[in-house]
Amino acid sequence: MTVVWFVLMLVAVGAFVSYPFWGRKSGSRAEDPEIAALEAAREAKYREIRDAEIDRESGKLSEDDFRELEAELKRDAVAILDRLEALRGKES
Amino acid sequence: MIGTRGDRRWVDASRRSVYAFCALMVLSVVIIEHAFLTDDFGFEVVASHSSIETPNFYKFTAMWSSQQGSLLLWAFILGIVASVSLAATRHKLRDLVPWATAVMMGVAVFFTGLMLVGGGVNPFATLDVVPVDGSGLNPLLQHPSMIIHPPMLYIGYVSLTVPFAFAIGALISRRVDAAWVKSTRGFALIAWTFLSIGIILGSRWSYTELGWGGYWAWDPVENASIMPWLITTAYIHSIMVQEKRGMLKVWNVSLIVASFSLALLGTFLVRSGVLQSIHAFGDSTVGPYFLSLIGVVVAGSTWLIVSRLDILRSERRIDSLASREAVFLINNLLLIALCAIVFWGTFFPLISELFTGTRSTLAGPWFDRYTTPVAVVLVLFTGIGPMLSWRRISWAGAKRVFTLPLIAAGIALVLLLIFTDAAESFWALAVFTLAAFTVVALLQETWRAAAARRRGVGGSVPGSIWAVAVRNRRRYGGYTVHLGLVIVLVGIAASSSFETKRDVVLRPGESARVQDYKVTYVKPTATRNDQALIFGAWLGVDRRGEPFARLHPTRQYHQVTDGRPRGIATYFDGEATSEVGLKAGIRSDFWTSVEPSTKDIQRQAKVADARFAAYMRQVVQPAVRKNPALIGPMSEKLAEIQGLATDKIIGVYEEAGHDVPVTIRVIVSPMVTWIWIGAIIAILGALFAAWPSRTRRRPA
Repeated sequence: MTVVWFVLMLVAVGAFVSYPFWGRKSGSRAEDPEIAALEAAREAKYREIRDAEIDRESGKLSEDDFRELEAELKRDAVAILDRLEALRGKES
Repeated sequence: MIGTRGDRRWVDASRRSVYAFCALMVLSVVIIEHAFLTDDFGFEVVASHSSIETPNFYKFTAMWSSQQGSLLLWAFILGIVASVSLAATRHKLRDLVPWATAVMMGVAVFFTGLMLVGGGVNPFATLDVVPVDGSGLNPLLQHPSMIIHPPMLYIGYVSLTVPFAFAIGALISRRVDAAWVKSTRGFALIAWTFLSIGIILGSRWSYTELGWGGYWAWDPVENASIMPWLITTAYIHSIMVQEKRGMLKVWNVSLIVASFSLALLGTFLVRSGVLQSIHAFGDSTVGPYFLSLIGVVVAGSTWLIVSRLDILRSERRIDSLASREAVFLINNLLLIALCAIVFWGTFFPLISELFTGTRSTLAGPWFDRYTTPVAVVLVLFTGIGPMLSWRRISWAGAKRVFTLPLIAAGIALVLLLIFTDAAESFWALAVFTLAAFTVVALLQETWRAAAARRRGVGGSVPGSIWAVAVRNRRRYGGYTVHLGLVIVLVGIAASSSFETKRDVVLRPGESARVQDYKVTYVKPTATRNDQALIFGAWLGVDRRGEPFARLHPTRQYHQVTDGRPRGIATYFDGEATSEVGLKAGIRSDFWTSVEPSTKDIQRQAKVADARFAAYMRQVVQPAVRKNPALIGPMSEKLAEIQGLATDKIIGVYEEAGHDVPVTIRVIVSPMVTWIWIGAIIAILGALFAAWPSRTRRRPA
């Protein structure tokens, strides 16, 4: 009985694991790593801008310091977006 | 790994194999739990860690009190966290995930392999001769905290496998980029949260169950849990510096490797018995395997980091010491210093034995002496960090944010000096003062952000605070964690510096004074249950003449579980546990335990056992030899008689006139409750920060 259970489990696990090879599909799609990294960098940059806004609101950054920092962060963000767009253009 | 070359079907198949591994581990746990709950003593693990009398509640938890079961728990949790992490990244981190999968399953192979070939740690091992009853569960582990403390700690330890595996994957695939940072930070935060829950539940168990009156003893196993916690705390901070400023990349991967290695070390310490510990419930069968794995992890990771130094260079340098990244770095160094002190103190017995041949241990005061100053400075930086902006803060900005917290700290210091005796302990006074600074700094931060929002869009104060916090979960979750930890440290400073501890010997009706309290030993109690004899004391406590509490601390003497014949006297040869009498309060805890004097009872029990044995020899055994069918009814009758004899003997303890003195330990400990409150706040803050927020798209 134990052997039967073992074989049944083995077959079930084997079938489950090998399922991706059954069809003709080339497997699940995954983001391009470059695009994924840039998207994460973009998100981090947006967070940095939000942080700068909070720092201004809480008095840590003066209006001048904030404007200077915000301009720099936005420049960085635009550069990331440009690179993202270029990569996506290439992909399509 | 073949999947990294392009054919995604291999990656999908490997992910499915992890899901299958998880399902098989779930099945394994279900089988073992079923065996425990149905008293299937054919399983060696059930026979040696449970018994018919073990309450069902604890039969369920008995699995992880065993060496075999705790290894299975490791593999089971690994199956779950690996599956969750791979499901969460199934469309992401294309280059990295196959390597991370290989690392996680490498660890899984280690644990499952250990169970199969590690020698005596197979949870499915069966016995040739099935015993009628099992040995029972260690009574110390029969406490509600122990149901959840080990799994929580293990979830924390095991969850660290995920950021470690993703870090190794990132190094191999040369993708130490923002996408990796984003994924690994979340997993590390989850691991940190579970480690925190596990540690605090362990402390609570120690406080209420071990009968010595403390919540932290600098015990090797406690230390083993705090070390990965400290390093993960450092990592959660420094990964933000990498995310924002592109710095500390080598540092970050080293920290995550250290966290995982320390998590393995923690499991090794609990399970190896290499260091004496009140929490070490294992023996040394698996020690060498664990050390080998730790060696492979440390050596392999170090080689990998060194070989990838070209991609781990910092993109920028710290602009100013008055910046958040500089404070995060200092905070990291302090956390690592704490970890190094704890590591040295924990392993000093082994180090001293190696060099001198004599095993010397470092006690609590040694740890206190070296960790206290570092922890106090850490409280200061916990407050300073959030007040600074990234890159640099101007003098005017610093003035704006520091003024109020400094005033608050000054006022707190003066009030403490005038109205309390806090000046008696320099370090406690420093913690209280710096805590005032930090708490006001955190509240000021939150208040100003909420006020700015109200100026912009209106709304109520609580509504604005909530809106600001939800929009910046990480920041305000982090602030909440800081607030909670500062409260924990205040609780620790107050309770350890201003604790009053007295052992008083009282007879029934006698009283003793401890501070403002009068403790009266009202009467002794004696009962028994299926597993133990329980001797206790009813205590009446008055505070300044007013009734304050009625407490009932007990000492429980558990029957031996080593296979020898059980009698009444053998209860006193088994494990003894304490149930403390506790009146917890916001200002202070009134804690009591009792050490009953059972000499008379033990003497009477021995006499009864001897008579019983003689009766067995002279009457029962000859009768059974003549008529074997009598064995069943006679056994039942004998058990009944033995029960009645036990009741009669222990009943003497509470009879009027039996005024034997008992030792009562009384501890008045200020602000202990704040440790638990602070921990809950910190854990809620971590959950708030870890909660996934909607990705916001905004135009730059």
